[in-house]
Amino acid sequence: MDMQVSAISWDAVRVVLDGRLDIAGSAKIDIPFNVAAGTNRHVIVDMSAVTFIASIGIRTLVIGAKTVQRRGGKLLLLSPQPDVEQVLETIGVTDLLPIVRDEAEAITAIRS
Amino acid sequence: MGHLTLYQAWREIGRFGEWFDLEERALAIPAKLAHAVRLCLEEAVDNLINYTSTTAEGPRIDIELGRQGDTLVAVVRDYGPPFDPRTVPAFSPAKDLETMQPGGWGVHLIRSYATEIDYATGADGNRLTLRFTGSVGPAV
Repeated sequence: MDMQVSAISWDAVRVVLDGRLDIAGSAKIDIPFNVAAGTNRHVIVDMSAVTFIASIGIRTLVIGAKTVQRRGGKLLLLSPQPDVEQVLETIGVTDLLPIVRDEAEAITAIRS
Repeated sequence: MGHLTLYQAWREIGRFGEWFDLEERALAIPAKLAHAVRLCLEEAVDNLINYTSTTAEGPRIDIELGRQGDTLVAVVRDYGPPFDPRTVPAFSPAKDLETMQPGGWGVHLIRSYATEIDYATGADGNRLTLRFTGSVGPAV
């Protein structure tokens, strides 16, 4: 699992995750992901290259979303693959970790 | 039937991923089915590493994976206190982020993605058997 962070506006970052968000993958990104969530108002998590997610990976996303929300921001999931989205739906978190299909939709969502 | 023994330690989890990659290829498991099996086994191993204490039999987990006709069968053995995932109360999704307690989803995922779950415990430890048939997917 790899992670890259880039600014997309003065108050928002795009976090690109690449690989499996399983136990090993989550352990690798847990700290940098929490730093990104703790230091930016809005976080758009690009999930398009995440090929697998387990509950421990969802935990990482939820903790980040709680951190962002406490400061009045939003955490959005950008373009998860179908199998990954199905796991998120099964857990029932897609209302709490909203899914957007492109960056324009993400920007609209964080400005709404 | 493929077999893997893991010690109940987080450092071992990388070996599970590598082993499953090999089994997926060796058994020619279709991608969607492989996703379901990998998810269920990872959740089972996660629970065991988190919650099962060391016993005289040793802190280990044995995993087997093989085919029985059109069914893929995964068996997870451990030697700690019994924990039958079938007895866990039904899952209730969180309503808001503020009060949400992240975690506790593993059993729900296993029950959603496995076609059939059996659990037995005895002198030779605990045995979780998960069966998967062709058209897998969660019963959301």
